[in-house]
Amino acid sequence: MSRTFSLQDPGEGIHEAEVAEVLVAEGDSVEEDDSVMVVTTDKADSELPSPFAGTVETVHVSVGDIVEVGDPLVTFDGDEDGEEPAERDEDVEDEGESDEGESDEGEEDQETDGEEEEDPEDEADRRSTSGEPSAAPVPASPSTRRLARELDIDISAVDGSGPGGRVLADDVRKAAEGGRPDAEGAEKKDEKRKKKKEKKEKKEKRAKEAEEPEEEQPQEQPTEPRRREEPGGAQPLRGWRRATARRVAESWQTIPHVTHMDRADITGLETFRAERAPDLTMTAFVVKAAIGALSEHPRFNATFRDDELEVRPDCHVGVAVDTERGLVVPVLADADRRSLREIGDELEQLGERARSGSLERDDVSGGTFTVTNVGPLGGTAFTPIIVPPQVAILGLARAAPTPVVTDDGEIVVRTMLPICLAFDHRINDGADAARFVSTIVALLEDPDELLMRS
Amino acid sequence: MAERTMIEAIRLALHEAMTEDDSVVVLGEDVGVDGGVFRATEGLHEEFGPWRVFDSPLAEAVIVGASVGMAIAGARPVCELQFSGFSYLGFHQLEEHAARMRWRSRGRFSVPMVVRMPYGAGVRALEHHSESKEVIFAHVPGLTTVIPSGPRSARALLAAAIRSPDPVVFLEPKSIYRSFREEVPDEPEVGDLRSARRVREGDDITLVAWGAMVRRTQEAADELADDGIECDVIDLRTVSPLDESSIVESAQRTGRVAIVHEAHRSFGPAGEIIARLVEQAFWQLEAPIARVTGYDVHVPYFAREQAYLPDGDRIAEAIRATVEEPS
Repeated sequence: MSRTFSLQDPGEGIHEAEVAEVLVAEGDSVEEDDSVMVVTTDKADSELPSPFAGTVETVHVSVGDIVEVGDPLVTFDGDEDGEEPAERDEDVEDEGESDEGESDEGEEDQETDGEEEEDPEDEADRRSTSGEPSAAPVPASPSTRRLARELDIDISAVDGSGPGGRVLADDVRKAAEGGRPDAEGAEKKDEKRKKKKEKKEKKEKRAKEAEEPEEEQPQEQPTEPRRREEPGGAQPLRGWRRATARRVAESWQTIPHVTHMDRADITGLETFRAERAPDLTMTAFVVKAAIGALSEHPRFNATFRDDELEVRPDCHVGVAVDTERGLVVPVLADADRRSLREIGDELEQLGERARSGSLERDDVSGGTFTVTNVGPLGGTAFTPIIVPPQVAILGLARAAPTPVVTDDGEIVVRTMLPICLAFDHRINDGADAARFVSTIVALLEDPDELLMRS
Repeated sequence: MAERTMIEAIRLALHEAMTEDDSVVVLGEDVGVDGGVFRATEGLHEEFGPWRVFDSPLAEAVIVGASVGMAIAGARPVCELQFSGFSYLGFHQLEEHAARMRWRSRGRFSVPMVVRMPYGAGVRALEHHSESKEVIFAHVPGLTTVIPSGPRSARALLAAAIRSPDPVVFLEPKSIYRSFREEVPDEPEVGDLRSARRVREGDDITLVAWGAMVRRTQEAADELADDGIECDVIDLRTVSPLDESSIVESAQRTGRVAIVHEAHRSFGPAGEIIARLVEQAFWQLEAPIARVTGYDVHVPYFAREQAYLPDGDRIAEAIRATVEEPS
């Protein structure tokens, strides 16, 4: 009886992971809890321990694959539970390896960890608890199933690119390419598709012409960007870049961002820092100031999801770190309970681990507010993107000696730190943001007061 | 050719049938002297006399039952029930006798009669005056259930119904009795009670509608054509027996279908149509079949009546969703 280890739901709305490393090969003997692979979810690498002991029969994934919750990772060969081999054969023959359509079914996620092996006689139950990939039909429209049959493609073996893993006609055609590219059905479909596409293009062209009537559109207008050299080939985003892309797009599309900009005169703070704590970064001071301001303006230390705002009594500050692999935001847990010195030390350690890639999932989740400092690299101002479900992010640009007009009307040179607070306008208003940032500025401009804050 | 309202077209069909065939008689509440509650029989009493156009008691069972007897005896009665919501009182005669007589008598007797009744919502009427319960009749073997979608089809289909050797339930969508005019040929036109009619051609989706919903569906189709969605619109005309082949042919071509009816959703006509498509066109379907229907509540009074009825927005939304479904 072989058993399959599938990707379990890691929670927090994560539905997929990228395979970063495969630690076992077919034929390997594995003990329970041995690590079998490393997967990356939202920038944290997790080792996956095997829930079974046994010999690796099949490794279903390879490095770089994106796997969804419920997808089979490794199948183990193990005879200890003595199921009749006949049944297993049936499973295999029946559906082959279906790797789609499981993610919605919590039941199957459970079953794959093999604890419900002695389920009763019910055939369907037995089949799905057998550890083989699900025997449930893959989602596909009837017309696509017919196409698959015409092209002699086993639809259960096709990766679906549609909603919910639905196998689309295009997926089937792709699977058929190389096999029988001239199959009649595909041709017919292609014709229809082509016709539709032409129609759509025509229509779009019409619409475009209507918009720009004076501009003659040549028939062969190139739509691709010009290239000097041969195209290198478009590549899908992978790994961290992919995680970042998805997160920021989601944030930008769902959160009405407003960025409030101000400057803090940190001339005094810089002097203080040089004299008393040259090893502490400016970020540490700003985090400290932000925590102080958050206690006065708690609606910025909050999470907002499913239309519910939770103003958080605890405070965990994410700090963006630029690494070779890309942007990562480790979270300084319980930041409000730490001294300035502890904040500085902890930030240094988190930064170190971020750069070495040894952050765990816990290190990058659970933030209630975020600080991002691009100052060391330059910039006068920018509009940071909020990390959902948080409601604000504090951006720092480059602090620089700046001519400032004093209250007396004199021009003096001061070190000014540009501060950009992006906030979710659903939760806070511009006036709230101005007051919050003013508090931060006041704290940064008065190091003594800053240090008085617990 | 003259432009006529649907009520005028129905009157024309009755007039033509009575002129052509002496056995055609018209009966019902107020159809004689008063010319009918919706004026469908106006002038017939004067022209054809009290022996061929006569008022009945306010009793649907009597109207239908007397018609069954007359039909067996050789007349071609066209009876009117004032509203389909009161037809249930005559349903016993219709189901137990009109629909069964040919079968019961092994072909010895047939019942060539037409039961006309205004049906459907949209005229801000009272309770019992707005229902769309065509399935009640469509479910009965031996009955043909016809619903015209406008003046021209009403005239031609009623002419065909009167000529039918078997009973026909002729449901007239009262909301379009006078809502628009259409060219109706001067020369007699006899429709076909066995076939649906394509009223718009397209390749992207099949839309099936009948009665007052045809016009709303066509308007939605016109609007979507601007967005490049080409709808194949089928006016069912005869709900039962269903012209399966027209719908199946279209669905096999488009792969996507939406059905529009003002009848209640549950166990409504769309359910049967979808079943036929699943049986006959399953392997060509590219998306789940959509239905845009009335709700599973009694038709509301006039303040909410339009909210009950499928409207252009609901129809267009269903079409878009169906067309955009990846396959």
